Amino acid sequence: MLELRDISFRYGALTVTDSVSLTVEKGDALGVIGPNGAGKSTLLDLMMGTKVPAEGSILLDGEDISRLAAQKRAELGIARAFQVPRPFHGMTVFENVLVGATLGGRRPERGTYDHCFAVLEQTGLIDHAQDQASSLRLLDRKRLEMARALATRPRLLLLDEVAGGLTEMECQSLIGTIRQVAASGVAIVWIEHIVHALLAVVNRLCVIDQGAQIANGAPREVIELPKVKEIYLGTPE
Amino acid sequence: MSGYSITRISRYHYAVGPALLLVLAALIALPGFADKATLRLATEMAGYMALAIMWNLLAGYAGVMSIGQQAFVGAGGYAIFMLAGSAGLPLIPSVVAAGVIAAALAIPVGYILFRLNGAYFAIGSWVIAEIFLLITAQSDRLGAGSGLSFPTAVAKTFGKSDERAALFWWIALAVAVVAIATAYLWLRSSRGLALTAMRDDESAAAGLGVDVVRNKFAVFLLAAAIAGMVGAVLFLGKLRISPTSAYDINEWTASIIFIVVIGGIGRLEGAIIGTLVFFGLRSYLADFGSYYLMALGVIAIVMMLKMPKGLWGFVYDRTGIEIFPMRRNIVRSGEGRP
Repeated sequence: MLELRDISFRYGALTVTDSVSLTVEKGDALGVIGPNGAGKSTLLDLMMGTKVPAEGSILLDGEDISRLAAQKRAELGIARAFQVPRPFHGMTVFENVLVGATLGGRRPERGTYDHCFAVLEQTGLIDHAQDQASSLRLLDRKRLEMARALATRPRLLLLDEVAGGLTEMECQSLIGTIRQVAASGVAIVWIEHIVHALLAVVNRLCVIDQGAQIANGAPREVIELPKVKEIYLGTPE
Repeated sequence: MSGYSITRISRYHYAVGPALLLVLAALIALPGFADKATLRLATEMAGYMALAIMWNLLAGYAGVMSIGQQAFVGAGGYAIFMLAGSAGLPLIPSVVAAGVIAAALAIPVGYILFRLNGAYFAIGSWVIAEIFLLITAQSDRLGAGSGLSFPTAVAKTFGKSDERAALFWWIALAVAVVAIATAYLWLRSSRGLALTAMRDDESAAAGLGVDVVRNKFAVFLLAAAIAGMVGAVLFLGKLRISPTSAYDINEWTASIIFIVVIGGIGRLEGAIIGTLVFFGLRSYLADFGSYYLMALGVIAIVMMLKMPKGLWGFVYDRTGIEIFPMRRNIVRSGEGRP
């Protein structure tokens, strides 16, 4: 479905993404790990269209979307949940979700109400639907990030460290939701530091270090690779 | 079905609607009981209110920090002097045409400005308004630096002095009502959902499918059209126009920013409350001469520090009251209205 071909991105002389190639198929849940500053979030920016690659191309269903603006990609079925939740604080939780459903989903407003309520039920936010988004606690803000993204009826959902900062119990409930989403046929690309959360969901794992992809494959095998252990978990003394 | 539904209005709106209609009826009847000076003040207020509603849409919602709206006010003013004055065309179509001309000018202006971001956009919009002033001051047909007077012969066809005041008041009122109604319907629709999302977080909105630039451009064109019509009616009332008065940044932009900040930026009601407060302050402080502007400045700064959401934002945060209902209230099946 989504294919990255030799994608590079630079800030001036600094190479943040170094010719990364990867594919995400329908039904895939791809985990992305790597140390801080490895260029993981940039990878999502490139997929979403908030950054434009210096080299290489991004294909969605075989069509080149490398230079397509974010809102066009949203219409094509890519959605993203941010690492730091960015709710529309002056709107209610329901209206936040409605933005994704009507504008991203390109549907008339009234026709999306039931879908919005379904997404709110699914993400456990239905009891907060009428609350101002600014009044939510962290877990609910993270859920709202996901709810808004899901409301666009994405085919590909990009998750950026959505489990960070949560307690173990909160994390488990979030994992449950993401599993459901994956099971419903939405492809997922999930960046996460909390590896056990990732391993509970993904069917493939990709490791990024200094902008380059150093491993990609079955999660249990990738995590056992010596070079991955060395880079990601630190060199044993 | 999900067992939930949406209602846009609360019970008290059944009283707000008729109350607004009563106010409108009283305003239409105003020439029946107000003198000429009051009508002129009311005309000015209506014009300012329309500009403030639009600046609030621009800066408060769309994130378009224009400090060059005087370009379109001035263009509309000159347009009415040429169309209704020199060419002798009928008045009301000429006012509408002034709005259309201002919006047409906004297309190339926006095309240039929307390549700039943030502070650069603001400065760019001001520079363009100054260019409008310079071009006008060079044009002999527009009376160059000294400006134009509205032909007395044409003005007389609008009636005697107090009949004219009434006519101009009704036009200004119509422009203000159009501005409020358009802004309200816009904000209530799914385009408004996009604008409100942009107000809160532009890039998150883009990521959810909001076409940010297109929405900004649309609001910019609407604001230019309204500014053109406001310029037309207010300069008609003055019967004189000159480049410095037409493109006056203090009059047409700084005062308007004050109104929006005081009233509450990012809330439709804010611009209306702000206009009332501004004119109240102005009539009260006018006796203090040049201290008047200083006092306005101090009030604006204190408001920004102590009440950053303005008067209406303060009220809304505590009560949730909306004069113009926009919020989507959720009702579980079997429950009444909240």
